[in-house]
Amino acid sequence: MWYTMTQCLALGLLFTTLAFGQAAAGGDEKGVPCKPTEEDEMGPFYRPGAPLRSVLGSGYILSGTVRAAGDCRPLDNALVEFWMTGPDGHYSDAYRAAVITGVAGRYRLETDLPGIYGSRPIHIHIRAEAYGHAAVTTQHYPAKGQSTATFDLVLPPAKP
Amino acid sequence: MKTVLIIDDDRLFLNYLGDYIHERCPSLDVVTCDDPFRGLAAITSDIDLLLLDLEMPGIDGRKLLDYALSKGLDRSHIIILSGHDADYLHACIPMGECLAVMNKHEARQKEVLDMIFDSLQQKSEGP
Repeated sequence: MWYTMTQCLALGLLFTTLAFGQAAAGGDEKGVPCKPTEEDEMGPFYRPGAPLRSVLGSGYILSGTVRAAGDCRPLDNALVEFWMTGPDGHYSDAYRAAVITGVAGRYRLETDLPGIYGSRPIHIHIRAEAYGHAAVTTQHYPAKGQSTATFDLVLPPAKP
Repeated sequence: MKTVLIIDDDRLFLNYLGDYIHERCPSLDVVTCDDPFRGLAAITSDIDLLLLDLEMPGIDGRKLLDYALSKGLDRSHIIILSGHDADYLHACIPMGECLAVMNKHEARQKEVLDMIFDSLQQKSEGP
């Protein structure tokens, strides 16, 4: 049998609609449509092709859900890339990672706390992208004294 | 029936290869995908042969290879295709990480692919 991804996608969309029909109809739990995540500086240290891995160190766990703007539908199979300084305050390949969201759009990164870079607050760069959606580049700022954080990402639809 | 999944953003090559396999091995299920993000959803542990283009925007073949392995697909079911020469490819994907790493435009490599397709076709048709 010969069939294309278009047919696969149609089945996938049917499943998604059935599975997430509630969210698709009403936005988030409060009925507020999801707004795209605000863009933040990409900075000069982004490199495409970060290796697929979810552990870069220990002491800080960042997790969240990738969602579609508007209907808040969780996006599985989204690519989330991270780059950050190590504890020494320098960017390096050792602190680059990419993860792919699983069921319900969830991602998780375990890492060291980033080191201080210049006069900026400590931060983790994030870029997320998914099929049918535009990429979002942003930053997460760990709160002082925290070892875990939840940081959801909302992607706008792809531009035609 | 055995399933072949091809993920390549080069639509011309993708269509050519899909049609070629379909004509040569009609008992194989051939699924093609020109977008690596859509391809992610199609990767499962029960695919019989996964052909991945190395150079693609957003998610390259290296990441898709790692993802497929993390989903439980046997590395002997995965082939990486690329326009680069063998030296470059083996530097990117060391031997043993998948069944083969091939230049998709070299005739001799096509012969190897034909052997793999034919073998899969025989298995698909049974004893």
